[in-house]
Amino acid sequence: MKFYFFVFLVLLYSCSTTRFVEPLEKDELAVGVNAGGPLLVFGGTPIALPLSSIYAGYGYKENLTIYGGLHTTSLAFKTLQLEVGARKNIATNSGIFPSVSSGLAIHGIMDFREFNIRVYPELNINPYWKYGKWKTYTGIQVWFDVYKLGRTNYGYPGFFVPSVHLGQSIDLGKWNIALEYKRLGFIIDTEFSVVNYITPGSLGAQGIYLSGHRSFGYKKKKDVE
Amino acid sequence: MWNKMILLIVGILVFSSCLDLSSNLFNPTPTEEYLYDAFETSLRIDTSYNILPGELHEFSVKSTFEGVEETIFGAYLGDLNTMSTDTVILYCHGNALNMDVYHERVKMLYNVFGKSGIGVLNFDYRGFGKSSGSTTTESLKADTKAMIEWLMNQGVQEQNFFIYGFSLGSIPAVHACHTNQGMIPRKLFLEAPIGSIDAMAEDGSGLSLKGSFFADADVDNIRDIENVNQDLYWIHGLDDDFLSLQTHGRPIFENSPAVYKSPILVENGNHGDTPFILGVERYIETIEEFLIN
Repeated sequence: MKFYFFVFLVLLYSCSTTRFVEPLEKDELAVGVNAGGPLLVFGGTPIALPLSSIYAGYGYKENLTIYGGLHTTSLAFKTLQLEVGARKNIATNSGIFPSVSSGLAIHGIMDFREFNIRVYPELNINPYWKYGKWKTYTGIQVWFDVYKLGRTNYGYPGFFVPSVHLGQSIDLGKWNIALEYKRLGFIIDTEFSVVNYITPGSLGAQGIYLSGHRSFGYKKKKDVE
Repeated sequence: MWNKMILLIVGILVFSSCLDLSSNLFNPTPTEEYLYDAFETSLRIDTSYNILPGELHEFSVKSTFEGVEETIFGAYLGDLNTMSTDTVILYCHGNALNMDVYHERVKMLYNVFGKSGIGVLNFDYRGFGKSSGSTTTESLKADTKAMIEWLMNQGVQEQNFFIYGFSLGSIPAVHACHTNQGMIPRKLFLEAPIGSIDAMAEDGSGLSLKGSFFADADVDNIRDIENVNQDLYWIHGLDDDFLSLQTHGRPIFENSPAVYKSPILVENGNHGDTPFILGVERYIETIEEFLIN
């Protein structure tokens, strides 16, 4: 029997779509919300955890977007999780080859119970294809767990936790909506986990996420890709 | 600008204090009446182990925690007239339902030494079974203490007193071994114990998340076992898919400073069935070997 309590153990991990897969235009400001989470069995029923966050991004300069997010569900449970990051394109589409963006982020977590703090750097790379209003993207995201370096206890030993994702977004003018599937921690054996993840091969977890952000304060350039 | 920042910080603090997961840690099932041998379960031992008339004694005691008094129900298997000389095991059960579910396990312990000179006390923490109130990790310890006091009042001697913790029950069992709850158990039995909330958080996420990110509960048997010098019996299923042997049981076992430690690792044993997979007779043998060593 799994405790209901522990379905929330995944509150704090990769609980959002990939932020701004394509960098914003210079001086573009966007604010959005995100919902969704890992798939698991809760009380005998398969569900996606209803995790949520709010986020904002700003086109600091051409091809450099800075962004931040606040995870609202974990906050409601007395744990503050903030993320800040930056993203830029590292390749532009050419023929069959997609554009590729890469991002660096820092996730800071602190609870209001004992004021324990954890900080996890994240690196991600995202190839994406644009066709009209639509954008299909994939990619890999890696969280680095520096607290495990040199540790000798019995937890999952790896100091990095990778995820892969596949998403689809649509540009509706000022609004951008994205739906994303994630394969979380796919190198971690979760057969003996306290959470009943719905996952193939007892490895990691999988999640479904939906996000939408609205853009402010810029004149959109014509799509060239 | 500063006003907005202060407003944002205050807003975060107010919003962050509205929900807590601690109460979801427990899965109690209230009942109006205990069924004991009549309780339907797939984990059934042979009917030859069924309790005979006069062997089971249901009772209740009052337990006070943080100023709230609750009624706690227990069921003693044994002879009330010989408790002052009998070997007595206090059984701290796991997180499922109520003590009816654990009755088959308690019967196995009661059959140690062929029921000769042995007694086993099973009980429900507050909120479980017929016991009133609602549970917290700290109230588990208070209710266990109330049961220890009942045993003392029945004349049980400290040198004959042992404690057994299964899963969630490992929290009050370990606690009773390194704090003075009236009587200090002579030896400690742990079955599929909880290592810590931190270990659970890490099992669930793959990251070194702290347990305090999820709940107020301070549970760390991996730490607390360092203060337990009593002999340790540890039984754990190799296929435990809830509290893994590697992240929960083994760190406890290896951190224990006990001189005599008896690890029983059971192939194909999962979280809830390990004694049954090991086999009733073999399980009883391992308990007997540990008690007499």
